[in-house]
Formats: sequence, structure tokens, C-alpha cells
Amino acid sequence: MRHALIVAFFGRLRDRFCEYGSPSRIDEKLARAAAVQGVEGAEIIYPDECSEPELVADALSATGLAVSAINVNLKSLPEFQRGALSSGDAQVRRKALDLILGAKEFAARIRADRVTCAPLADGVDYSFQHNYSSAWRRTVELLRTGLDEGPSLPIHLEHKPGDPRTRGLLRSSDVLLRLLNDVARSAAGITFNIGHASVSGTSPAEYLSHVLRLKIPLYVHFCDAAGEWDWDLLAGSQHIWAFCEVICALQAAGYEGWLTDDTFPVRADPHELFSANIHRVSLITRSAMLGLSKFESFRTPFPMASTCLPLC
Amino acid sequence: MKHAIITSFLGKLRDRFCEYQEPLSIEEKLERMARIPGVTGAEVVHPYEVEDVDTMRRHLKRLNLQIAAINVNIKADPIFAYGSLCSPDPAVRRKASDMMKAAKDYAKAMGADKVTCCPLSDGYDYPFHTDYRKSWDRMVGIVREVAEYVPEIPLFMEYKPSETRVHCTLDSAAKALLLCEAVGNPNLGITLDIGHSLYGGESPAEAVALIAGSGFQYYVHINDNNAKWDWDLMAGTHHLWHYIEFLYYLKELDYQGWITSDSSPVRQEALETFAFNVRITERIWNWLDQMDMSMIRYHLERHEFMPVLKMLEQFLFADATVKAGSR
Repeated sequence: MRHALIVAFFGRLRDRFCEYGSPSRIDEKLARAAAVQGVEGAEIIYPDECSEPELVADALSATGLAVSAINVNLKSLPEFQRGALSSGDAQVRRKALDLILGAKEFAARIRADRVTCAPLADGVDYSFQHNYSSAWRRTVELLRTGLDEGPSLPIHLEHKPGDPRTRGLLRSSDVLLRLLNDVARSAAGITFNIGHASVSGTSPAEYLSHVLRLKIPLYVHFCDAAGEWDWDLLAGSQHIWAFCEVICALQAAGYEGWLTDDTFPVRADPHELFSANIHRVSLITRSAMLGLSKFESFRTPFPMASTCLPLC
Repeated sequence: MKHAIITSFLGKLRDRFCEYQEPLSIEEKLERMARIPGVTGAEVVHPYEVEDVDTMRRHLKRLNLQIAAINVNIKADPIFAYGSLCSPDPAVRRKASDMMKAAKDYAKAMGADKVTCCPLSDGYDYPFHTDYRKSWDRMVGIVREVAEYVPEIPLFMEYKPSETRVHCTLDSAAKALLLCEAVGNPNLGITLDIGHSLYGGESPAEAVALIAGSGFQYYVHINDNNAKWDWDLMAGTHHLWHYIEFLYYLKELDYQGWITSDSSPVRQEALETFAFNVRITERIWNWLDQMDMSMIRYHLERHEFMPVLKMLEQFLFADATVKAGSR
């Protein structure tokens, strides 16, 4: 498994009440990402961080970083506030499609392997807010078009319970798998976010098992959540055994793709936080490799994680 | 019943990913507020939103509005990112207490009757992030100091489970009461935000009963959410029964204070949002007046919720017919 970072986290961040960090150019963010030991890849936001393609290409070349994914942003524009993929407005959907196709073009140009998309504007805040059946159908149709047109690249959809919508359309990986079944395109994949799958104390390994079973193209984001919210915290800081379990499951499944750090450094130094994250994941991964033979206990009724993983 | 709105919700808003509405001056926000039927009060944010006392008085007089509360913001300044009242840095704590005292001075000059404060930067994100005992002592110390300053303006502390911190220090009604009791000053109060109570796992009605029973003053913010996050949605849209129960208790407790809307109109028209809050609250309040309150009390004493629910069904389904044979 190779480590990547969402480089936007090296720039200006905010929540509802506060701002953190400073605005940075994409080449500066890439340089800071490359300075984190163990990082080989960068996830870049389209179009926000891609307005100067030459600058991106030069910075990638200078740092030696690969692009783990181009992340197409379908949430920040004001026209997406009430939905993007599922919007009832054909013009809004057209705009979303154009951005997806633009992201695919950009990804092809810089030799990225995939586009990833968290359609966070799609969902509801209230009962009686939209027609669930129509919203689902429009999402399926738009994704099919996005996959069929433009360069031949996979599009990975990311699940999340909510934010900024109270209830996200793709609120779990299970719902997303259901969507991908309807989309019925082999290039439609999943960005499995371990933190999003840990909200409410659920088991990310259990969710992941369904993704693995269906052999869907897989790309992984990691962080941790607390309580009912996606706080994008240091990996394993809240749910250490659940995190070990999901890393072991990836290891056992032979996953050799990217592990992309989706941790939000709002009250921590980004370099320090990402370094700690990657160090921790590397330890767990190595422990998982050592303990993989004992990992057969997955098949027993009561596996003792602490005996499987020589962590302590 | 007196309805108020937190004025900042009438201007520019944002979340982690998006921005909503246009930036407006306090005068423009108050003008928008004055167009909402039934709203007569404003909770304004100090120091970021307000103008000088004379100018603010002119705006309020022209628009026939009153001040419901002065809300002192001790979270937005980057100096407070790691805490304000609980900060280990005495200079940061000093800044927080100075801001709270300035808000009291402003409230007194404006003729307002309270300052409310939600210390959202106080808390922790990770295990081993803070020394809980020292944090609590620091919060008690600052709140005591501010409560003693300009005592005729009470300080209302607002609790909230989280945001911006993963875990806020002042996270529940019970914790807020522990704070009031530790400080031991009767010029303290609690701002009960229904949404904070709901997503903190409380029953807002039980929380207000607990606070009222303590003798400390209280003040009410209304909104709703999905019990997972403080979405600041329109009142009663997710927890209608809880909202009816909460208003029942306010009526029983003879609450005479402001009902202040703390709803965030991020993806819908703001004036309609607040007008809905006023309407649904008034409807429930007036409908409760038609109920036989003594019967509700009678059943509650006996833990008989089914007869109460049958009475309440009339609120939602007054005109719906029930098929023969159904119960």
C-alpha cells in the first residue's frame, strides 16, 4: 500500500466558526506533501487546484509525487447548494457533468489513474424535500454519461453520512454499492473512506467486506471519526481496534493501492499530523503482515485482536 | 410569547465547504428581521456584529425591535483556537474575560438584560489532549470573575456537545448546572439550545425542568436537528413531539423570556425559515392553551403516556377521519 495526501489540507481550512492555516499555491502544497516521510502520492482538487496545469505538472515533476486521484469538487459552487448529480435542474446537472469530464481530461493529462468524487451537495435536510426516486434515477443517468464520455478512466464515488447536507444521498458504502449496481459500468468504483465508515461507531471492516466481495474498483481514504460526525481525526485515535481491523482486512485482501490521508489539521501542525498518521498506519500494516498467519482467527467466533496484532 | 432571532443568521453564513447568503450590515440584518411577522427581539453578536450604542439604539427604535441578548463570541479569534476560558495560557484567558466584560458593559449601555456565551473552543479533540481538572477549574474561575462584574447583567452560559471542538467542556445541561453551582453566583443563567440538547442525547423538556428546578435563570434557543449534529434546522421539523413537550414545560414553568430562533437558513430563504419557526411555535403554544393541562399533569403523575399522546394527536390530525374499527 502506498501513502498519499489530500494536499488541499496544506492550505486555508475552515469550519462554521473559525478559519485555520493560510492560503497556499498548489506547488507549495505539493512541496509540503512531499516533505512528509513516506508520502508518494497527492490527491488534487479539480478545478480549484488545477487552474494552472503547467504549474501542477512542474510541481509533480519536481517533487516526484504521483497523483493518487483527481478529486472533482461538486459541492462548493453556489449552484450546487441544493444538489449536483441529483439536481432537478438540468443546467445544474450539465454543470456537474462538465466538471466530471473536465476532471477526467485533467487526470488523463497528468497520468492520474482515477477521478474521485464525493457528491456532498446531494441529499436532503428535511422530510418532503425532494422525490427520492427521481433523484436516484438522475444520479444514475448522469454517472453513466460521465463514465461513457471522455477519457477512459474510472470514477470512484465516495460515501459520507452527511455534510453539508443533513442526510447525504450516498450516506454509506452500502448505499453506494447499490448505486453502482444500477450504474452498471465496470469503471465505476468506490472511494472507501474509513473515517466516514466509522461515524456512529460502525465497523469499517464490515462495510469494506461487501466492497471486497463485489470486486468493485477500490481506492481508500483514511482518518477517524468521533461520535456522530466526520471529524477527520488522526487514524485510530478514537476507534483503534476498528482501524486495525480494517487495515488488516485490506492487507488480507491483497490491496496494493493508495492509502490517502484525509485528516483535517485544524488545530494541529499538518506536517506533524500527517507524519504521525503515516507512521501509525505503517506500524499497523507491518503488524498486520506479521500477524497475518494468525489472522485466520477472523474465521473463529471470537478473534482476539490483541493476540493477532503485535502492536504493544 | 416573545420571538427573537440571532441576527448573524440573516447575513453571510458558511460551513466547511460552502458559503451562503450575502454579507450584510447589522442595520440590514435588523431590517430583514423586522419584516418577519411576530419577531420583536434581536440577539446580536458582540463585538463582531454590533455598532456603537447610539447607532444601535436608533436602528432598534426605528424598527421597533428590542435586544433579547448580547451574544459574546469567544471562539472566532484565532487566539482561541485551542481554548478560551480553559486555555492554559493566562493571556488567552485574560482576553476571553475582557471580551465577556466588554459585552456586559455593552449590554448595560444598550439596556439589554443579559449576556449569553457559548464557549465552543473549550474542549478537546483527542484522549490525552487536556488536563480535565485544570480546564474545569479555569472555566469556573473565569466565569466567577465575569459573573461578579456588572452583576446587574446576568451571564448566561450556553452548553453544546461539540463544534468546534470534538468534545466541548460545557456539553450538557447537567454540566452547565455544575458550573453554575461551582461558581455559586445567582447572577448566572443557562442558555438552553434545543438542538444542542437533542444531539447531546437529552430530552429538552427534561433538561429545562432540571434547570428550572435549580433556581438558576434560563433562556431558550430553538431549532432542530437529526440528533447527530447541530444542523440548526427549523423548529419541530425532526423532533416534533419533543418540541411540543418542551413547549408544554415552558408553559408549565411560566417562562416569560424570549424564544430565540437559532436556525441556519443555508439552503432556503431566511425570512421564510424564521417565519416558520414563529408560526409553528405559536400554533403549538396556542393549541396547548386549548388542552386540558390538568389532565396532562394527571397522566404524567401516573406515567400514563398513551392518553397524553391521544390528546396530542389532535394537534397533527385534527381534521383526519379515523376508519371504523381502528383504535
